Amino acid sequence: MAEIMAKIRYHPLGPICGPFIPIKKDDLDKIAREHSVSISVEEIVGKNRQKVGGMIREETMNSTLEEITQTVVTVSAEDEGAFREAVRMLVKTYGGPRTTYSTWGSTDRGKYIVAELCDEEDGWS
Amino acid sequence: MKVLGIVASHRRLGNTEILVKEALMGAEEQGADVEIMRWTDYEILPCEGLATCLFGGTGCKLKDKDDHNYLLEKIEQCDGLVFGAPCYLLEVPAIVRQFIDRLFVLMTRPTATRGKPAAIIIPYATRGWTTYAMLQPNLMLLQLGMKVIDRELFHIQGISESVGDQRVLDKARKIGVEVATAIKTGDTTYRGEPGICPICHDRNIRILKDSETVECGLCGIRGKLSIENGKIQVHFPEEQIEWHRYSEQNIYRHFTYEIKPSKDYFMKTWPQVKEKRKNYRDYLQIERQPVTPERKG
Repeated sequence: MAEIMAKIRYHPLGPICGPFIPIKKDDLDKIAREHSVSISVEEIVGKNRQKVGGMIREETMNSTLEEITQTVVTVSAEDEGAFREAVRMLVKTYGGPRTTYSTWGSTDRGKYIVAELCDEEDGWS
Repeated sequence: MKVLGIVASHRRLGNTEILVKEALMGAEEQGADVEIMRWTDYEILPCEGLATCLFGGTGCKLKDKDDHNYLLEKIEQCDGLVFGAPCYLLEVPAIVRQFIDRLFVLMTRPTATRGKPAAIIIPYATRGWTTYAMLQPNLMLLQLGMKVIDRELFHIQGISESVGDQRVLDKARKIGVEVATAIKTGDTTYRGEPGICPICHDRNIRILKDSETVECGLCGIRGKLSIENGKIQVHFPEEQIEWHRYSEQNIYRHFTYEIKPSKDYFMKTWPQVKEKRKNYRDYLQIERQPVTPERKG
């Protein structure tokens, strides 16, 4: 069976209104164990960041998708049911990313499932 | 202290114009210099949705072709705003939406509107046909970062009927007084009728697909619904209220992480998109049909 993989890219300040919920490796490990999927996390700090009036501000216009500040949560599984439930839990916990490029680098099947579950669990559409 | 009145209605000396003028009389009583303009006297071309104002770094390409920038500058130059528009079919006329669509340009330059007080005046004809009347004016003022301190629907059906209804004239005048007072005191607290959403004060709440969460679709804040003593209660957590859609941090987040990176996404995906969209270019040609004499009439 082909592996389904999704890279879900969470950016600073949260995917939905309200404060950002910190993405912690321990919590991700727990979701991975519960649903028998593989989950890894990568923190990327953008290059074009500076402090303006005590707040971090980033200029992203000319950065690549991979360069901007983000937490990339990569989920993969061979079993679609397990994959779905793990993604559902991520969306319930951290919200659904809102852009089409927030799953850049995913397999097509993984991308479609994330989009479907974001609509289902995070109220969009 | 300058208060600007905007009439977003084609009808001359109709209820919108009369009520906005009444509000301006109230503001003038408080010492304000007042000015009025009718948006329908100006041209607002439709946004073409190419976002060249942002990605091209050139500002709005329509800037010198119509009056949108002039109208925006007039709002920026005032200290407070009285905005009037009639409610037609559930909503205000399209000129308001035309103006809003072009506000994407605010991302390319600083604006002087944030924090200034504004009020909304909407005359309407029939009860039950005003569901989204406040939607576009609220959206416009929130996008401009202005503080809506009061808003009122006026039930006025006949042409210029408002001149004979002292109750509505008093309400309109009070709104003008409030705008001028807010400018003088700096107190932009909302004084209008309480709504459900603490940001836009409207009562249009969505139930999300999880059937657990409710949201103000306009402001993007989410909360929970409960029934207490037979009454529906909606609770929005404080952190949601602080991070509403039009807050400075949310506008920054949206443009920094949800809009600007789409430039790279476009560059990455364009070769494939360009190839695949050929199928649609070749399938059915969209041509404007000649207008028949019957249709002209």
